Amino acid sequence: MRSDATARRYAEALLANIPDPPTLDSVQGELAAIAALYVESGDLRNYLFDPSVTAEHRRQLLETVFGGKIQPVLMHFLDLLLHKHRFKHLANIAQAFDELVEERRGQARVEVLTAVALAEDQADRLKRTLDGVVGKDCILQTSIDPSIIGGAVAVRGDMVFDGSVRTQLAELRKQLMDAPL
Amino acid sequence: MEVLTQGLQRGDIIALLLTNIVAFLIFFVVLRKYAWGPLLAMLDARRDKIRSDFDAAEKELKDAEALRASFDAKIAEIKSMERERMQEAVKRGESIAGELEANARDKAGQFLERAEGELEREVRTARLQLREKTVDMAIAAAEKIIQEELDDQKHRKLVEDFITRLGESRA
Repeated sequence: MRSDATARRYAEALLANIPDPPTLDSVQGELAAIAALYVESGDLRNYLFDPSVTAEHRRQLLETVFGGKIQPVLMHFLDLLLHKHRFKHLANIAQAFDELVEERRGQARVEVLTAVALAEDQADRLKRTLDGVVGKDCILQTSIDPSIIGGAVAVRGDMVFDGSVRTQLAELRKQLMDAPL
Repeated sequence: MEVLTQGLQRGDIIALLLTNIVAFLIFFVVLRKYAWGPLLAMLDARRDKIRSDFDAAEKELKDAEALRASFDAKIAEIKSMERERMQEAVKRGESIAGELEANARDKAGQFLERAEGELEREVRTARLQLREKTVDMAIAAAEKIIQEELDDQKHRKLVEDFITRLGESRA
């Protein structure tokens, strides 16, 4: 699923303020980690959205937790999100940032679902094939979903390449149901 | 008379006769003056009253007959009007009955049509449900068999087929 417009706007602002490629790599990793922490940590969310906590205390919390450990540009960006009350969009912003970075690098993230673990040689062939289909350097994010029964499903944004047995059975069911009585 | 005449002379008889006649005449004049007139007047009055009563009775009879004729005419008119009204009521009743019958036929027709439609829909729904259940059972059975049949090699083959089709779609 593609990120929303607000998240993309903030992600673009962050990307525009990154001075060099090494910093970009660091920021991408750090942002993903902070977003994951924000999603997982209820305490962090509760503190950040507690009305009794002042803005200054929130900023101090971020400084205490992340200060010196992350790129200054990212620290400044987190401050901005707090100030603009956009911290709740952090996960979406991280996703939008990844998409923008991938676009800049000519990369495309593709989620691949298989019923059993994908063999390495098949993953390589699938990546090369997807590179050709999508027209970008595809980064496969593989995961196992036994409910697809067999085959594979590749998802890139709005594009879905579905070669699962589950979908074939669903199509067969639809054909049988659509047949005249 | 003969006894009387035996003792009386002819002159006595005449005198007697005259006396009687005079007496009678006096009686007659007195009677006429004091009794006859009122009697006749009474008789006349009685006759006039009887005639008048008779006339009145006749008039009443005539009036009664006229009234009766008028009453008969009125009765006849009323009967005629009643007959007309009855006929009109009968016609109206027949018309209403006709309308009711037509409505009843229409409603019955509509009901029948609706019932047929509903029956058809229910049969169709039942067929669809039956087919859905049959198809679901068949698909569930197929899924189970496929899952049981799929080993690593077949999984690999399915992914391989997917990659091939994906490559072909680009071409």
